[in-house]
Amino acid sequence: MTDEDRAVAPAAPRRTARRATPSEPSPSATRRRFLAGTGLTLLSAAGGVVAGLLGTRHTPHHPVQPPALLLAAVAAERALIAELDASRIPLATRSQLRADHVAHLRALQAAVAQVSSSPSAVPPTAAVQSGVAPSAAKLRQLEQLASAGAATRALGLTGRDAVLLASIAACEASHVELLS
Amino acid sequence: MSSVSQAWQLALAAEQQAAFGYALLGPQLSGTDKDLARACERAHDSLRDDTATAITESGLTPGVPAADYPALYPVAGARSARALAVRLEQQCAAAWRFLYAQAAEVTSPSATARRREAQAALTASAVRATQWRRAADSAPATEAFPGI
Repeated sequence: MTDEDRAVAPAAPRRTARRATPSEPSPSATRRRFLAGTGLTLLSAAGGVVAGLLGTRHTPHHPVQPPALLLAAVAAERALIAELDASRIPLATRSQLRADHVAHLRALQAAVAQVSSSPSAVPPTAAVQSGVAPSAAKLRQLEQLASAGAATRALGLTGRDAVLLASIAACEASHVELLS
Repeated sequence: MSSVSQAWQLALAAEQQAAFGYALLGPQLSGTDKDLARACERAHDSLRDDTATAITESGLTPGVPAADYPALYPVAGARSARALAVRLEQQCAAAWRFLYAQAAEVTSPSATARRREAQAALTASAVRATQWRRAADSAPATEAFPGI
């Protein structure tokens, strides 16, 4: 007997025996079982829906707020972008710095979006406070402060958010170098 | 060994490689580039030694540097030397960022200490990489997310 034969052979008697079973249900019994099964399934589904609705009703609607440190980091990036846009430093340098800050802002917004469903939690774009175009020296100072601020915020966070801010802090320190 | 300790050893290994690499690339440079290479070499020597000491003080045995780093060769000329310097700094930044990531998963005074050290080293490498990109006149001179 080949392997194929062995695989097929045991099945045949079982199939025959099942057909020969005296308790083979009649068509009407099969229909009753089908209806009973369907009814149970529908009841279960309905129960699940009710439980879901009750669960929703009893859960207080408190939108999850992202960490304040993350929101502060978003605001800091926006403020830096606004200062850069108002500055008159060489275009190539400004474009480079801006591109980095925009990348930071997007990454931070994505981090905020992961923990919050309310976009209004992020404060609006900060305007340049002095109204005067910031000089390279002023921008250098702002980048230095931003770097230190990001490093401090990073220590207040854990996991990926902390690492993100640590990397941003390093980048902003390199901006100080670029503005020197 | 914990994941933080392993990452710490990797950061040490990156600093050992950087110290070796700067000794290799320095002779290819002249003028201000050579001065920058010397300053970077001193910084990496110092960080390597401080890291090895700190690892020892924590009760672990610091990894020993490799006898040679074939992946750093060849360094033929100033352009190649500057490119290697950028690469060394990027690798150090990646190693320190990894240590930061591992330590950021743990809440303990020693983990916080590792994070502070890693932040300082990551930042220093990002700044040095920018200095080398400027020396090489390569754009962009900065990276939005150093260490990634």
